[in-house]
Amino acid sequence: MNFLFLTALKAEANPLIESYGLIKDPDTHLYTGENISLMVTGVGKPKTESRIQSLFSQYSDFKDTVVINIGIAGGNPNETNVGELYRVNAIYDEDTGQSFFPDILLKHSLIELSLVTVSKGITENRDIYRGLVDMEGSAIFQLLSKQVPPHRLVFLKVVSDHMDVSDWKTLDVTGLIAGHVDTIRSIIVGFEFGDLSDRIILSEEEMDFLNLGMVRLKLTETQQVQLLDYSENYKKRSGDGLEFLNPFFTKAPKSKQERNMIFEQIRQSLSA
Amino acid sequence: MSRSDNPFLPDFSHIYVETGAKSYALANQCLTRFPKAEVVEVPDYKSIFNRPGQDFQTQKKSVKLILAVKKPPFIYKSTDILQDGGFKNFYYNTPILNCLYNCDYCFLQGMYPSANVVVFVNQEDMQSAVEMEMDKRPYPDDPLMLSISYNTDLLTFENILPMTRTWIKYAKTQPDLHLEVRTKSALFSAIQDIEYTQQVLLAWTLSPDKVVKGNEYDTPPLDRRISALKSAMAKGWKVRLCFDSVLVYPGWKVDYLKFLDLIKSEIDGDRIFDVTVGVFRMGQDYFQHIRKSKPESNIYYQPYENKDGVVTIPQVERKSVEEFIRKNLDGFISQERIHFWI
Ligand code: SF4
Repeated sequence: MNFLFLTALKAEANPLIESYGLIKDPDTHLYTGENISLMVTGVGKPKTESRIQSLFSQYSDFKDTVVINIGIAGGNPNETNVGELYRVNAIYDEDTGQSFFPDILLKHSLIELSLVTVSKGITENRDIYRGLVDMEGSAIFQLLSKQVPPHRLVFLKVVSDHMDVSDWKTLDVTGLIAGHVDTIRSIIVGFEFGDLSDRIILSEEEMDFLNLGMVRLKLTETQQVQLLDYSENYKKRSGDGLEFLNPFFTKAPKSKQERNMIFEQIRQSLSA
Repeated sequence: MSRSDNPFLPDFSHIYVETGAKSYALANQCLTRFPKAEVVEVPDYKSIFNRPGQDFQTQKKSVKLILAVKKPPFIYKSTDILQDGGFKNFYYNTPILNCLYNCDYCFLQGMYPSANVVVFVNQEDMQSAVEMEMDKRPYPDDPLMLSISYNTDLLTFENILPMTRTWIKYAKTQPDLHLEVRTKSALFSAIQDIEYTQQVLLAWTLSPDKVVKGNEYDTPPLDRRISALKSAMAKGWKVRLCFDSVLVYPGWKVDYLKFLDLIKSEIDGDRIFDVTVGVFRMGQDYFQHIRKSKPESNIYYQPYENKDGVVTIPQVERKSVEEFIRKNLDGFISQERIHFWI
């Protein structure tokens, strides 16, 4: 399982970079370690959206990645304590009215709250906001949920204030996150046990092998889909690999007729 | 945490309540039943149930509950895949979407984007719709037969929400309404205090133990289902036996022969209402949808035939199932009381 942290501020990222010994890749600006990566998105939805769009060209291993958005948030004074870490179970976008729900399948020890994503910092009418308030959550869910199922989208927020701060620079952002690094690490361990990766039947190498065969045999689109189906059926039923198809893929057919004949032989071999 | 601990939250750890559902008695009953659940308000149940990218089988590891208000239609005409068991006015409704069990041949995985369970709290609206449909049923001399357990296994929920009880009580007020309650559960005990009625058909799906263990995850073993249905029969209830899906795999006949022998030795065939038999079948869209999710089960990787948009086992195997079942039920129940989807 791989983990991708997203934080809005470098100050939020620092305790994680240190704890996991992450190194910055000068080309992608991603911080990476063994199975952990981290990206600083910037503050607010527009910046977050553009950084995530660029992430899609830099990071491709979403099949077994858990995305964790961690950062500070404002909290409703009656529901939250400053300095406490909360798990988000619903995200409402104040501008669009849309709502988003991460699936929480694994046990955890945090109090759950909803999160409202706003465009501007809240300085008045703070009591109308229930739970937590941030400036990135909805954008992260909306974009990442195209790559990652909702059970691998995690939102963790440390309450930095009760929406009553006039000078943000006075907040000890790094200290607020650093106090919860052990809890964050235990959440990651939980995901390692949960086995929540996408299920696959054909490995990446097998897919490359079949794709090569499809090109060489100039298979029609229908035949390509059928070849994948037959290969999956074969592998599920027999548990064996597909190397035995190699001889079929060695030379290009001279005619459609020859191609169809080879394809029929492949079909028969895979249904044996 | 050790590897042996179950890392998943228990089912119904979270209850999502549609804003419009909050004021219904059934919603409050559910919330009271699960006082420790995290309650999350949702504007519309579809905003959680229909999210893109959900993984049905992963969600099955920690199923959540959604409380919603059903919008019309409240009642549906039977489909070709659903066995009507000889009833002319055959309908179904959906008091609950999804099931607590997880049979690997179940079409619900292909039908719904989510494994979470939706309970519709406005059962009265469904009952009004039944009354309207009864008035215009195509065969007025026959009752309206309503399957209330089509997109779920309703009896399984009985200790959580007494929905089957509610519908049986309701049917008793409507002489032209008959109900079919199809189940794999052993929970007859939860309704055994209700006086039986000829209007209700309790239909138990039975399979050999090997199929129960290998393909019908989380369901009660065969012996418990048999003892539940025997209790129901002893109390006078009409009972249907469903052998559906009969699965064809190497050695299936040996398992099914032993299974049918057990049925014949345990159950009095003369007192069974009827038997329905079906093979694995699924609308091609649902089948493809399930295949795309790469399920663990081998069922989705066998050679099938597409029979008018329905994916099913080849005709020669379907015939073989029919002959086998007919032959082995001979003398147990008359042939005209065996209905096949073959
Ligand atoms: S009991 Fe019926 S509804 Fe439930 S999972 Fe099994 S086949 Fe599906």
